Amino acid sequence: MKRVLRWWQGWVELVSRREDAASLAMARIVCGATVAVHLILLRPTGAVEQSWVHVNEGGAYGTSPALVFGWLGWGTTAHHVDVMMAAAAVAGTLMALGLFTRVTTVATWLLWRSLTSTNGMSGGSSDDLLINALFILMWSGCGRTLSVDAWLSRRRDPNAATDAPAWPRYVMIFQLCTLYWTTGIQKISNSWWPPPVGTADAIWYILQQVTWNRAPFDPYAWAPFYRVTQLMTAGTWLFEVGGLVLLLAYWYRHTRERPGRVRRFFNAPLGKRLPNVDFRLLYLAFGFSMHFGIWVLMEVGPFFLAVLVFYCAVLTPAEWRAALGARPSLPAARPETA
Amino acid sequence: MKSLWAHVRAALVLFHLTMIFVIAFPAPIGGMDRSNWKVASVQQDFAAWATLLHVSAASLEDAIYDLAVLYMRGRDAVASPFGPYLRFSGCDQPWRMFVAPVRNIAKLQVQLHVRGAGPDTWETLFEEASAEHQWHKLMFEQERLRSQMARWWWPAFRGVFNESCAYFARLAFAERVDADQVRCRYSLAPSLTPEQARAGVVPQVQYTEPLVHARPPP
Repeated sequence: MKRVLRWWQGWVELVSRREDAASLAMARIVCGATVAVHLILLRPTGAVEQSWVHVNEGGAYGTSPALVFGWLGWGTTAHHVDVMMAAAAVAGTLMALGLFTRVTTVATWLLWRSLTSTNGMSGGSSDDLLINALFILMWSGCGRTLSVDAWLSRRRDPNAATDAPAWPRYVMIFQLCTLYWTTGIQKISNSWWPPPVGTADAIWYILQQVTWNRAPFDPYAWAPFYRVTQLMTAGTWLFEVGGLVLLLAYWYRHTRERPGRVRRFFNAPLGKRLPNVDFRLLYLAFGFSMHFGIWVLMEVGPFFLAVLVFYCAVLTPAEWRAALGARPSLPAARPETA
Repeated sequence: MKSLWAHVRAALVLFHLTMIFVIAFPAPIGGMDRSNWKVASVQQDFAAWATLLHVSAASLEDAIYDLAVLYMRGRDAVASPFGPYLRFSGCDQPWRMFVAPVRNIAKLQVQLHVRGAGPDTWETLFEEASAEHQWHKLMFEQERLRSQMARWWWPAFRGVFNESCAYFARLAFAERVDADQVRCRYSLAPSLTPEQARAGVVPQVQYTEPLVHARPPP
């Protein structure tokens, strides 16, 4: 019982931490901008009418007027869908700018959910990933810095706080690990598994599916590079299945003062020459390359950008400040360890 | 009061993380329709695992189905307490992405029949990956259409394919007064193995049963 209580106290302390809001602010900017840009680019394609407008109003399906549509007594007519899209694009833009941040983040979450819930057939994982991010961001203090709100509040009070609860960032890290790990262990086809169990030819076959290709894939021209596609398959599978290793990397980072070779390796896998590059950063670099590769070769919607929202949270506020060439106006309430 | 809030917040965050984990935990959601299990590329996967495990593909498939039914019952029981919160937050966890590669090259075709033309004379309006037939290219290239097109040729999605085909027919009839029928179908060709690609093998194309929509009477 004492151990449980001690564990609970440790959990309460972890979740009660505060830190500079830079990471959450970057996640907010990418998330809001992704929603706004996606909707603006989607509108003129003709896919809106097919996917979201009701069959009786000129669409293809009996789409359901979810959430805000229902609350307003609106059907999924072309006009109402247009109004909702425009409102979501405005809310996403204001969220990215950090103007009325809490309100615009909640509005973006609600409007994005309302639009993407009208037809489950026409969406993808990127819709859900953005909803997951928005739901966490709306409870966070992601508008406390790098925002119009922060600029206005600093004009009123030069000592206005730029810190925020750290738990939303921790939740986003956990969400990213869960995303990778569960998508990895669900790749049950032996085409994903490396030899000798499997054939590691999944990407070879996926690239032949014309539906997802950004440009035509010519298997005859690519045949000499089959081994490359096998390496990509094995790399992707291992990266995803290893999603939980990222959590382990955080634990080793959190307890870096303790001894142990494995811990030392995780905290500086490239040795003394690059002591600040830990396993987490290498994992992210591989992930970024993988998503960028998918984005170049395949059209899977805003998935790349939706994942980057979570990557923003994986980097610590200090790393973001260093990257942005600025220092926080207030120090983090506790030293950053996660 | 502040101390109490710290505990409540910790409990809420833990509940959220538990929900994410439970809902994301692997489950064959959307994969329990056995008509989809009979598709060639799925059968190839069963055959590959059956060979590895030294059992017959049919018995492996039956065993996996029984196990999946049992598993889904257990999963439903564990996940149901999170249902209301999941519906409120919208934080679904559908991370079943590219679970298994499809070993078919499936291409959607939308074709139009002109009034008075022979019964087998169809004009192709749109064909996936075609440089020639690019009717409403922007719409078909949008990922919201792509995610549907990737599913329509599977047996379980025939109904929604028909609904969309009717939509394409309405678009075509509005644009072409000479059209009296529109049909939608898929061309299916087996994906090439690396050996076949090196040998320059040309896959044989077959067509799915077309969905045909006639112009409604005025």
